[in-house]
Amino acid sequence: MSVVTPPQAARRADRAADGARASVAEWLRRPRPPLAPPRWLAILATALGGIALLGIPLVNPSYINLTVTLVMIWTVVGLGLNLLVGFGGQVSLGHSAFFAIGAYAVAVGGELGIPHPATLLVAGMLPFAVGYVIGLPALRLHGLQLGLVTLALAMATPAAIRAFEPLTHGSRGIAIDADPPSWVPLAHDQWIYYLALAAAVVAYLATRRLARGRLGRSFVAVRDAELVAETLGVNVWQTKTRLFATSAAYAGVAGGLYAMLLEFVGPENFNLALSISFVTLIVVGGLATVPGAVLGALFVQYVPTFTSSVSPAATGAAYGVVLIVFAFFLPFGLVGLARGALGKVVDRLPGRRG
Amino acid sequence: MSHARTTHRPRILPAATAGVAVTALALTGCAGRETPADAGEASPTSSTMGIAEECSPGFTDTEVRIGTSIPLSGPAAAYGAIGQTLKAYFDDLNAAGGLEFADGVTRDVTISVIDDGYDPAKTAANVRQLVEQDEVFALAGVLGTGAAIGVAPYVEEAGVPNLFVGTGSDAILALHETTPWTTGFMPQYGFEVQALAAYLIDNHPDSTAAILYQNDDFGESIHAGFEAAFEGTGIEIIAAEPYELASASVDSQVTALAASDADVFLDWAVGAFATQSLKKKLELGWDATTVINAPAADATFFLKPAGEGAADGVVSIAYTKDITDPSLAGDAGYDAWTTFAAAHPDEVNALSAPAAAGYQTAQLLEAALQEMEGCTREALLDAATSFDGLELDLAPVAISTSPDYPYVFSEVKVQVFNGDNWDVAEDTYTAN
Repeated sequence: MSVVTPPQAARRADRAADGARASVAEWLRRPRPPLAPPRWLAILATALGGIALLGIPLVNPSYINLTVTLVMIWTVVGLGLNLLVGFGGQVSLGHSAFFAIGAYAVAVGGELGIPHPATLLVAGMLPFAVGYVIGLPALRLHGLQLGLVTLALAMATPAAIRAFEPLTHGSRGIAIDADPPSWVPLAHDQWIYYLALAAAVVAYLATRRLARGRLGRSFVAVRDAELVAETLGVNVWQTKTRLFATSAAYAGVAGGLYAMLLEFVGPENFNLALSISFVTLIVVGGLATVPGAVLGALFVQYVPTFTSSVSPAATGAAYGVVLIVFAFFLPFGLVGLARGALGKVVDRLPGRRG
Repeated sequence: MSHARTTHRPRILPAATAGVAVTALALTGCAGRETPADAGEASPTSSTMGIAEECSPGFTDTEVRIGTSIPLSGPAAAYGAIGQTLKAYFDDLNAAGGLEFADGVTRDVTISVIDDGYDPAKTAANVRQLVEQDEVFALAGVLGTGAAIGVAPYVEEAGVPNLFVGTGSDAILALHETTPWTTGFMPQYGFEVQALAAYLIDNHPDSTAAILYQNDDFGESIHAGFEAAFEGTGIEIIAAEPYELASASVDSQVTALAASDADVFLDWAVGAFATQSLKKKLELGWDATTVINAPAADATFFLKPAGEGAADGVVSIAYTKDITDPSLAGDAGYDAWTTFAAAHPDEVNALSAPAAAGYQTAQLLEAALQEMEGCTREALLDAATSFDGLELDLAPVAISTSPDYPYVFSEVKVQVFNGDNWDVAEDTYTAN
């Protein structure tokens, strides 16, 4: 799926197709190029967004900061998982395992006396190493088999945490004191918010570069035509393993932030439902799109809360209906929807582009 | 999806510049908040500082607000009945004019219940929302060990009592050494072991025992607890089998334990595993007295499904009257419960153990609110940890609490299942 035409040209084709009175379902299912805003709009939006994100924790109570921080944590996981699933075409249902490793790296690291923001480095490196080792044999598998292996990983996570009892304190869990260092004049929730924001911004920019650079192209090549990629000199196996490990590292850092945010980790935090919600996130957000992770993160954080406030009994059902609607009508997720809805308007704006 | 790489790159620079500028502004200008907790929050010392006592948030002349976060959806949704019953109980009270406090003023007690789907991250957000947005006076009936320990630093900082948490984990005792704001509703698991061991030493002296336990630190602590309690007595544990929570059945473990032909079967399997173990024990014809853990001692859900005769003579601790036993009719407390449940057919199931736990939580809260002196959160915590012989409708023993022991039940009785209902034994066991 490579779009070689420039966005605006593609949009013209899109408009021409619209002229043929396509049904709403067809309109929703059409793939679309990314938005191409004029440069002034891009700068303005980034600046305003940046100011808003930096200002949020200073003016809001901690329960709002907590949910926004969670959105950023899910964003980091989503970016990593999307790299693997969306760009790499490898299925992983096991990212809750890496998320847990990251969280426990922070918790155990803290107990061992490593100062807290520094534990996040361990939270990234450890899952990278584990992801690499697991990826070595697992990535020789394809499709469903790989899905099953990673599913097993997710299911084994709570039991593994209980089994490593001397380190993890089993089902009692570990309380974490993640208050900011004394020179930071911030409350706990604000401090973790800025850490998560920094991680999300770095992850976002890194993913965008990865996705567009040589590596990203080799990922996509491996996904779409493994044999061709190999012929062209891409080391398929190594590409996959690195991708898997990188994706695991994203989840690990997010897990570390999650542990610092909640100040407690226990085996029940990291069940299969968490892995499923990660997959939901990237599907709803939009596979193989970078901004999709952000929209998906907003979705998994706020939609279940909303459906349960409407009717606790209907939470599961309402959530399920939403997922089915996405699978059938919005295969390109919220990003696809946003592109379809805003594309024409953005294209008409005057100004220099790119 | 790939296109020219250079398209958006320049965006990073202005964004970064704006970011740095705003951060600098933020850190120099309005860094942090005035206090760690929100404005208007009474810190633990404020009541002693002022001459005229200032009321904590959530406590006015007409209303007291209480919050709870509990699973109303998801796999643990059955426990949502705790929150729903709590709310129904106080809604009744409010409809009847409100609750009279120690100062003679009658106030409404408003209960806010928020769903957390048993997700610790949601519990954390809910508790903050209850304290900061809804400005609750206290939390009551929050469910789960992880939830309680996870929000402990926050409730301590905000100075909000987190009362009658749905757990009996020994972790609450450890937590209590550093912060007094959290109390547990269920009998402490370690105390349960002590009470049952004392019962066995009295009633089954010089016997042998076999134990089935969960293969984790919880199970290990139960096993070690029994070993220690039987030390130097006539009872000896001659067989022990751990099982994995992830396994499909405990049949092989029960078979191995039955081979020891012990006189007492200490059954610490949880949920459906408890039912399985009783069924297998009957199949094998193993004639031993079964002692079962409190969460599994639910006649309707776990014991009767094991089949006719499988659960006869099962022993457990009793901290709630047997609500499934119609012969209790005539007992004032039981009648009050059934009348209450009948008045709320949609919210409260008269046979559901979580609903009964919610009813007990509500009565504990009611008593603490009535007995508290003043209008601060510390006063409520003091009242909740100084009950002296409080009678509850559904508790077989009177409740006495102390600031040193963070659980509601410091006394329990032991009960024996007769195939249909529980018979409560005479003796009372006290935590030491």
